[in-house]
Amino acid sequence: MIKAAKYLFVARTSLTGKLVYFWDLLGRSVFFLLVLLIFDQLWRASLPGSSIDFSRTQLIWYLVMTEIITLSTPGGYTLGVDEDIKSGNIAYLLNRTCNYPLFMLGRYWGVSLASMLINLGLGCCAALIMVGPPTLVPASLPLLVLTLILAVTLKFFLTLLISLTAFWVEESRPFHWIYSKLIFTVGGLFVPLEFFPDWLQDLARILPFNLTVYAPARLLVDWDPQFFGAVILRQILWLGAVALLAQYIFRQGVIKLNVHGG
Amino acid sequence: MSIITADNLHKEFALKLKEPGLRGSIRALLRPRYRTVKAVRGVSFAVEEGESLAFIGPNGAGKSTTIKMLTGILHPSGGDARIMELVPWRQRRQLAMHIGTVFGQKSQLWFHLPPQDSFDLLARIYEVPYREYRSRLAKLVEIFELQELLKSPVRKLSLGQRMRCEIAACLLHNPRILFLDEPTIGLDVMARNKIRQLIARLNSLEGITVFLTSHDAGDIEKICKRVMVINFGEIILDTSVAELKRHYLKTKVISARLGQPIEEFQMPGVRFLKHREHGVKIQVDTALTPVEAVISRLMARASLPDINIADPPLEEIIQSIYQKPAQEVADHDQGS
Repeated sequence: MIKAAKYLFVARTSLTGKLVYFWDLLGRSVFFLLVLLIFDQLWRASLPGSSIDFSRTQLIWYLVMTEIITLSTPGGYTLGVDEDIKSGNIAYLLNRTCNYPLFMLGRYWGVSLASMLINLGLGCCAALIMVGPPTLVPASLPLLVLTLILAVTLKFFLTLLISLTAFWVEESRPFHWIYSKLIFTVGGLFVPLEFFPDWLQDLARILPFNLTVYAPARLLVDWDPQFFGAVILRQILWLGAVALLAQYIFRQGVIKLNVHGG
Repeated sequence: MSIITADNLHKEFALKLKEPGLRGSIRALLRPRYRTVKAVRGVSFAVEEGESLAFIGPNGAGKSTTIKMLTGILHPSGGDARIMELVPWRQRRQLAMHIGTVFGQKSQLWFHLPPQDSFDLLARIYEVPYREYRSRLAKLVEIFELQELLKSPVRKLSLGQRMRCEIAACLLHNPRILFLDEPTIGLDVMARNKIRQLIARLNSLEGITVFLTSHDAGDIEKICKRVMVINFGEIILDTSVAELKRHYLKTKVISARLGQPIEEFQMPGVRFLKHREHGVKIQVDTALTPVEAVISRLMARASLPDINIADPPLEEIIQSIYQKPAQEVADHDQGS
């Protein structure tokens, strides 16, 4: 119990630290609004007469959800793991009675939560003005939140996995770049997977990236208990696998650790 | 019983070699070559509980690597070490409960938050019971005079204030050993003295074992009773600070005010560092000529209204040790 509480406290401290820059965070969210406006124009022009099964309202709310997840969570290098390893700062973090990956998860959640709350408020206001409310099943809301939590946590461990390569390679940025592009495409950041050709849809559904953005957004705009069941099961399985792999790689990295300045 | 023991500790790094230019980059990519760097070569020593030890050496001598092995961050290439009977690199988390570490150039405080927030978090991380934490913090706030700093964001603190908070932070879980890696680096004279006093006080009042690395001779002189010199990855000297000053460099510096002007005189091992009409500064190699012989010679030529005999600065002693070959230092150490 104490052990779990300490990571929650890391998240709390991280959230407190992030809220110091509330106005800065709010300023960054302007980009979010810009994305919504551009895509709204795109759907207005392209949807009429198309065979796509999504309405403009659904697509805007889909984008609100995917952008909240993507813009609010630290991506790639900003997670800080790569920098911790390269600068030797990891020495401090290893010297504590806590698990480094879980410590970083707490920090990740704290940082993300601050941005998420702001982006959620702004995104909902903008989407309500643009297209009105989505068709929501009230009972699905807690389950949606659960999917969202698993999605963000899975996204963290995938990013961590890439960051941990810094133990072996001198520059991990290219891997982060590829990962972010995978989220853009097979993750379904801008458009649902249903927009893709069948073969690409099949491929995207096998990979874990769609579970971090597409799946929660799809459930928000088109609640389906069966789809929810499939998503939650795959999220749990992928999360377990990626988290275990990250822990293993982290341990191997620590053994190989060569802190700079030694 | 020893609280820290190192037995034939080795650490080797594989350093990737790269020739300059594009051709060198391509060659390094296709056929990488490595050079083995022996950072630590068979270091052995023991530290008793409550000791204050300075672990010094020039840049690249192996100090930080040794500290990192002792704190469990680095796995050694060979040899053994025990900190309170724990193997650091195998029982790192258990060990973390008993040691505090301050790396002068790294921070464990959250930059944008007041130190109080970082203290609260560290107490949770080290699983310090709430009541114990409150009373420990109150004590540390008093010792380190942190009352005014607790609620200011760390980014707004001076380096000296921040370092006081850093040291307090690593003491929250009541560690028995304090590893300090250059704790006064970048501090001004006042802040340096303050930090030294605080560490010395912790050592004497609370009995915390202090293991310090520093390039500042003042840190060693004011905080530590024992000094260990490492160079080229080997321990080349292990003695008390007092012994180091008394025996290692057998020179004294005589500064005298003269009643009358005198001529410079020749004596074995005597060198005039300064010579003015009403004052001289003379360095004496006491192995060749006793100090009293030089004073007698001075008194025979002029009255001495004021005279001062001082040891050379510790800085000079350390510098001369670094410059000597390892074997010569070891022989000297055994001889003294």
